Amino acid sequence: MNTRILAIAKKEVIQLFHEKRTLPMIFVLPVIMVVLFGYVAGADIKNVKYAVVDRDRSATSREIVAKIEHSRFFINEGLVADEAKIGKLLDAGKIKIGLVIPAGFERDIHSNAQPKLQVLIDGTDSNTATIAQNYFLSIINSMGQQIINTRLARMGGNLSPAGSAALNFNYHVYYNPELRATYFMVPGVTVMVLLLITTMLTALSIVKEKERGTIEQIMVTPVKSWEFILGKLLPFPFLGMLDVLLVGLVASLWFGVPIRGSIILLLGCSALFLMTTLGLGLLISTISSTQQQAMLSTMFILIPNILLSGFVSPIANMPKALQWLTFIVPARYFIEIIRGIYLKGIGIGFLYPQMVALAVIGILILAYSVKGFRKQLA
Amino acid sequence: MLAVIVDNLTRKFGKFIAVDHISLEVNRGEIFGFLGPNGAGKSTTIRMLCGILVPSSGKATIAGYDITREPEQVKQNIGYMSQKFSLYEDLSVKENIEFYAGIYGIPKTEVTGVIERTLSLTGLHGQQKMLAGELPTGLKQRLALGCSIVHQPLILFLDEPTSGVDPISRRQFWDLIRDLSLKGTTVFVTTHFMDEAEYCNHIAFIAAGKLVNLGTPTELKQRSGQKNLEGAFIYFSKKAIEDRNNP
Repeated sequence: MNTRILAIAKKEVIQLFHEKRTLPMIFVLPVIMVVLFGYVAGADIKNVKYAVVDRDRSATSREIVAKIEHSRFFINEGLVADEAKIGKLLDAGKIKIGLVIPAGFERDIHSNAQPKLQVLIDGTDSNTATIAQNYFLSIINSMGQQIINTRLARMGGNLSPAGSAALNFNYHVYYNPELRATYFMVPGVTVMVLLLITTMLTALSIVKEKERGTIEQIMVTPVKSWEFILGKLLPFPFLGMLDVLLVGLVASLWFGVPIRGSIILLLGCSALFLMTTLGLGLLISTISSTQQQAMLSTMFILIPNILLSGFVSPIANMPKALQWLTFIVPARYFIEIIRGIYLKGIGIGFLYPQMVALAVIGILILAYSVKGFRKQLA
Repeated sequence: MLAVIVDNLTRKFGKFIAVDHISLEVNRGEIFGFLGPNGAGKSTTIRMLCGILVPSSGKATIAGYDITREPEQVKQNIGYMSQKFSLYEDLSVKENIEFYAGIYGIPKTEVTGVIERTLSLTGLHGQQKMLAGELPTGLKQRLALGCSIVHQPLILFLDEPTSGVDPISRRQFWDLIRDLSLKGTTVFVTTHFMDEAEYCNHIAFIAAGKLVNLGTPTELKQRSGQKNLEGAFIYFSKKAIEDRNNP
């Protein structure tokens, strides 16, 4: 590589190390973000309080309550007398779920009648309510399953294994069996970190040269504009990949998120994604003449990027028009890649469409922004 | 041999003609002053000669190289310093020099020598670890000059290099410039200080984008019938306005 590009890259690195605010931004911010998202946005439902009205007072009803108690999601606020009491507790926000086991529940089970249970849920926070409801029901269902199984077994050997399988819902959750939100959210923080840090640093580092007039000084030297851009951008992919590893480290060591796929592939895909973020940074630098403008533009561009990436809410839940729009959002593909590598452990065989999309968008953004950058200098 | 040949150089910004068919020649090794009121087109001309700005028409050769056809060679042979002292304030003195040495493709083995030479030229020995931003203005200016000539250019362009600098630093700076000129560097300088203009071998006076007069300081004083260059400056500026109003 020629000495001019290296001189620019070296200068860039020295500046990063001299600037007291930049290094914490590169190495501390990602950790803070992972921890924040791990605990807040990715908060699993936990410690959901519930109360029980047990009119049956049978072995089966006690078993149900014990099962719920043993799961790590719920806290028993105790047995209460009736539904009215449950209503009051729900109103006061003391509990989120109330379970009513009617009298004769155990008898209905054994007499082949339809046993009934009533579950009352506080739906104020619809998200938590849905998740809590699912957990709660899955516990009750698995109980029901057990009862059916034992009864089938008791009914005799005339049922073939295939026949019993037909009656059996044997559901198995892949990749994230405990349905932990942390597993879903934390890997995605990589995308936020790269978008935020590399885009902003790129934009700022170029705009700073414009602001101080150093860019003009460089343009009277034999440095060509592509050498200038390459030299300036060169350190950022390395910093970006350090951040990818940093996020991975905190995610797996602190939150126990599994990294099932190849870390090399993760870094390779990060490189593809970084083409888009650096291109974006370069683009922002051409439309901003001060660092403040650059910061604001970065924020302005990043927020829709993050919202449309599927990081916060699934793309499938968005209106159709927005779903189409996500196809030009590079973060969308990177989120899919990251979750694929972390949780599913899949490789290039499955991820190549996303990788190709990233490469294409990356090349387009870079080409366009380099062109804009050169035009602005002339 | 001529260091700079400018032939009918013109630059338009939309309808506005910033530089209007300027022609001049600069001898090798001389200090050439470029004088004129604010907005006369001095900086625009220098920026075209340095290859930052493309001329609308006309041509110029620097050290024998055409500015539009051979910008690479032009850039390798010129130094440029503006009133902004375009240093990296968050880099140390030494890091700034190293950076420009790298930019000009000076081989690694020679960089130490270049740093040494620049430090003694600028009198910054012992301060090479200081951040450029922490230097007083006078030293910043000298460092900027030192950085712009790490590659020992044939021609040095200075765009109002001494604005905002105290008289002592100004004097020291000009001692440096004259020293460079004596060693063979051609210096092309714009200034608003008439005492500085007196140091020049030739002065081109421009107003409203046009070359109004060109000669030695003595010649300019004679032609304007003024005792000093300040009088000549005011005389030529007024005359340019009158000529424009009554063509």
